[in-house]
Amino acid sequence: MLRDVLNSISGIGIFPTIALLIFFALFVGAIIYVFRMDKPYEKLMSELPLKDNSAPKGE
Amino acid sequence: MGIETFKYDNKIVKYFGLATIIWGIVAFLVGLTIALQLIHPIFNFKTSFLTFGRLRPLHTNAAIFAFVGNGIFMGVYYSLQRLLKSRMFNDTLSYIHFWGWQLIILSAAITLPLGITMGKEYAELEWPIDILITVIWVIFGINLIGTIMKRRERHMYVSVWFYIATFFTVALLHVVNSLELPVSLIKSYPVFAGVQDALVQWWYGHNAVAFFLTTPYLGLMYYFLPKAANRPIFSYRLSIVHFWALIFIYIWAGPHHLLYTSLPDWVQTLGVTFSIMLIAPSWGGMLNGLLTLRGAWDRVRQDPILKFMVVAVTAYGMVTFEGPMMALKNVNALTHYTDWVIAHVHIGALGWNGLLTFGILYWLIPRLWNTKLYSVKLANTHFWLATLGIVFYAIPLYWGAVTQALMWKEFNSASLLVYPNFLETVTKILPMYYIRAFGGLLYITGAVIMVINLVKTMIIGTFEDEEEVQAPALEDTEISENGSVGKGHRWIERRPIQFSILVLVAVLIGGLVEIIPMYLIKSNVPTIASVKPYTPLELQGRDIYISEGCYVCHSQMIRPFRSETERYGEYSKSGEFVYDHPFQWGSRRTGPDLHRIGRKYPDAWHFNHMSDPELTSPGSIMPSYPWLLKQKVDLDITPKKIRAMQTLGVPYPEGYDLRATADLEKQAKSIANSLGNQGVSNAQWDTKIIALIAYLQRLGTDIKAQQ
Ligand code: HEC
Repeated sequence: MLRDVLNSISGIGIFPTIALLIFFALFVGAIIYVFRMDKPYEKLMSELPLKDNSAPKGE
Repeated sequence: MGIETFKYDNKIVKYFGLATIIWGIVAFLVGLTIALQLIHPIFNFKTSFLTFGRLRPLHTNAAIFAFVGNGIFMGVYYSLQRLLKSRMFNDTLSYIHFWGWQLIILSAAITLPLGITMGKEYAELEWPIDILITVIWVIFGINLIGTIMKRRERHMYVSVWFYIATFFTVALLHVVNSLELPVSLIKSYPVFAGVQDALVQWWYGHNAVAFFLTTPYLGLMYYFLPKAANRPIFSYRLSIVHFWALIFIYIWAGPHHLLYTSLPDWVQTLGVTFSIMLIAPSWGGMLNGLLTLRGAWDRVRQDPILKFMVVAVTAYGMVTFEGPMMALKNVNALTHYTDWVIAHVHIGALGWNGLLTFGILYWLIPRLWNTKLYSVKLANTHFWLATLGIVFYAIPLYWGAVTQALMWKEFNSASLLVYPNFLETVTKILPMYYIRAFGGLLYITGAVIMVINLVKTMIIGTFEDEEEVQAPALEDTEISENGSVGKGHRWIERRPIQFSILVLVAVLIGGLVEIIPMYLIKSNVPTIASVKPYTPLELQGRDIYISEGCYVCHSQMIRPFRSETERYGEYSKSGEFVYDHPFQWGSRRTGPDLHRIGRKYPDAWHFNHMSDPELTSPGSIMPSYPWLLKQKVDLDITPKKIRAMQTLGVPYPEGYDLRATADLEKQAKSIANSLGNQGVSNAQWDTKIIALIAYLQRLGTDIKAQQ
């Protein structure tokens, strides 16, 4: 039923089309960026949470 | 480079942690109660405050906003300070946030049992509480962004991105879905009606799952899982793709991606390709979590914290796979309105949110109290009880769901429904409800064991309000550690404002793509001439229906399947709901659909059924509503309600508010009369039952009249 209502709006097809395209661009962009990232930087970022020293005193 | 000494605020983490534990137990216990109510209506205790229709919203609100909500804040306040090497922005804001949030929960716990509700799932709270939520949420946001601004760590770790996305999106969702017109302090009508209200509500509902139950918890996973395993996340690169894909997709590909069909072919192809690829961002998160533990599985076997986290992340993978499957049209035709949905959300809530919270608590509490966990053995016991609890909870519900759905759809050789009596399909799956309740009991037992374990840990440890640490001040330079100037994502990771704007844009694009059609829809719902506004009495009756929470068991949306039109009558048309503020389509058919209940039975049938369902339907699990026979309708508010409806565009004639009360009385007396003629002698015209009967008898009849 919802589908019929939505379909009756003229030009509705453009919305998902736009959304899909923007998303596609973003997704591809993110992938390209990620592949170009250098190793030392990745290491630096992924170790951020481990760099605060909050080991329990009992251990 | 100057080294600065400062203190982390551990007390606020403790506060939110204790609130998480306490509200968690409350949410589970209310859950068990309503599970028992579905086994036997005796557990409704014949009092209005504790009936299923009012307790189920309390359960969902407690689980989502009290248990998971406090869990989010506990994890955020702990990890944010450490990831950014900075104390929270402002202590006063922290504690206003804490007490404000508890006040919201308390107001929910009081108003929902009193039947004060908007009647929209997971957005039940009335307008004053909605405003309070907005204020407190903004305070949280200021504290979050403020802390980020004064950080000592230049780079924002992926968890922080998830927190930022959570803050902005939840704010947007909450405000749009809470647009409502107050009638009194405790009653308001949503500005949207019918189809439009349904779209806004499920845009909110879907994304509340995404941005309240998922993104903040992913942020927590990215921090606490590496901490607990003491090794970095498997792939930081994956987390970037994962993050952007997730926040962008969730908001727009939500409930509607199947609803648009008039799409160009190439878009459909791209869309299908993408739907398949989309499992990647969700599963990207899951794999990133699980692979962090590669080579450390021997530790997982010994450490209950890691066990909790592994099963939590696996549950996340399961729900995010199951969800898209349930969005497929032919799957949805079967699973919608059944317990499949209930099982699905509990894999998420008990598995993903629950187990991750437990894992974090077991990791965090000993650290905050400077000691070791009181008993690893008890934690292991809890782990097994919780995991088994989920299994015993979900499997019977899946089984029952399929059984019931097939019974609803079964025709015999004469083309008649094999189970025309809906109740038969309910009693058939009652055994499954017993096992489900048992599963819940196991889960709660585990949680109680956790409470004991954690309290013992707190007793043997000593809590430190303030944890003193040192870190170099953040220097105002563009040069990163390896000497190169930041660019691309690295650039954005150092700039919280720009980052926030980018997140907001991503979310808004998706949001607008969904919201714009919703606005357009109003003028596109085909009007049906015979559909008229509710009479004042019916309107009052409708508000009673909302207040009693009938929508948690009854749908008002007949789908265009033969099995449904055969059982309930003509399928529902969008034009029939144009005066429904709010819509009451429901999501689970514990009882039959009510959209065409009007004139199906005589008034006296409803009178008897509402006073005790067993009178008309032996073995029914519907609660009885004896108080409706005694409580009076609030007549004084009728003109106000009419005026509010007029403001929202319902075409009552000019000045009708002044005549409404007289009309109400006339209609009510005629119903009381007809009840008298049908042998019900004790019906008083101004009681709630009369208004409710008027509403029920009107439902779906505007179209019948046309035929
Ligand atoms: C716990 C879930 C539950 C709640 C809450 C609930 N019902 Fe029901 N309802 C049922 C079940 C199950 C049936 C089928 C058995 C029966 O007739 O009692 C039913 C049947 C009905 C029927 C008869 C439908 C038919 O076509 O025969 C009506 C009318 C009805 N309910 C109205 C209400 C109203 C009004 C409320 C709120 C005041 C309400 N119900 C709340 C479970 C529920």
